[in-house]
Amino acid sequence: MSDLRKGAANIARTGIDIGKQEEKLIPTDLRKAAFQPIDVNGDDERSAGFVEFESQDSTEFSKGAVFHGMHALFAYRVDRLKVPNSKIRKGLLEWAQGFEQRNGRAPGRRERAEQKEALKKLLRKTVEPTTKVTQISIDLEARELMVWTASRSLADEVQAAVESALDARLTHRVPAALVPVHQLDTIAPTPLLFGAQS
Amino acid sequence: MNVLLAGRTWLGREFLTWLLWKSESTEPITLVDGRGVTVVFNGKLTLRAGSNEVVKAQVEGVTSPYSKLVKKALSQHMLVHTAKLQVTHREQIYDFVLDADTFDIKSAKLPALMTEFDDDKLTERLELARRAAELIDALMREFIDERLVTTWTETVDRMREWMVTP
Repeated sequence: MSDLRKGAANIARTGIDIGKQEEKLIPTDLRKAAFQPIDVNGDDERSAGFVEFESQDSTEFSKGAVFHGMHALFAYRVDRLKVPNSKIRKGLLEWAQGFEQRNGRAPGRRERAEQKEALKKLLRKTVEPTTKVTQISIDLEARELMVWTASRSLADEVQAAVESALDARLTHRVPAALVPVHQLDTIAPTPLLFGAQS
Repeated sequence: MNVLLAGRTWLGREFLTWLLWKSESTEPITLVDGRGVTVVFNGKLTLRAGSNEVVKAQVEGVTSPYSKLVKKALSQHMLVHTAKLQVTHREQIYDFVLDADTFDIKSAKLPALMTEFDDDKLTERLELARRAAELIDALMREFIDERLVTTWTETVDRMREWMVTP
């Protein structure tokens, strides 16, 4: 994890094209895509969405909580709830032994599978979800989105979530982005640098 | 995101290779707010090639990016893919790692904060991150300006000359 406040910074950055009017709607848009806790009675193992920058449990997104000078600050929370396989195996073994004592035979494949599902549902209520929070800053002046993470896959997910929630267009900050569009198709790798076969 | 830019990692590699060549002189590579931006490659460097016998090579050590070994690899059509850089502007030093795929800023050591108050610290960190991004963009712009003109072939000749000069 990379912390905006301190330590080494890992930043995935993109340009963000968002209108002045839409800027004001950032808190509303974030609220619509806010993080929802995982329902322990359901089947979902993962939940992701936006939370406030200062509190991973708050999704009110008041203007004061989002805007910090010329920046919009918020975070992306991912919760995972997975019952460890070792717990399921242990529970299943105990159940199978009891079943054998009661019925004088080992449980069949189908009975075992049904018990495994039931056990999984039961154990979900005893497992605490793991939480990962990624900080996000939008520089409203420079029109730049910064996702403070070293994980490329997480950065991709957050960027896609921001793009969708704010209805914004993101552009990579790479050399090719500075090439005029009409020239993009005309430039090719330099043969003397890449070798004649490139 | 912009699909037009996908699959153009090679331009990122050309940029980092050009930057390595440019930086050896220790002269400012571009100007930001009228002040010079200097760059030093000062650590781990990864080189990649599309179709060589060796497709990936890595060197470590503060001065290794400018070593004969690296120049030899570059002369054999390997290009810089990942590099640890130190960028200096207005006496402020930014250390970070860049890679030719994404140009994400990795393991960045930003200049020390001047302020003591928490809220101001946050603002200052955001400003420093923004400044680091601006410096990278300015360097990329300088490269693209040189890359798109007809004299690029002359630049490449000078780069090739440097690669074979001990």
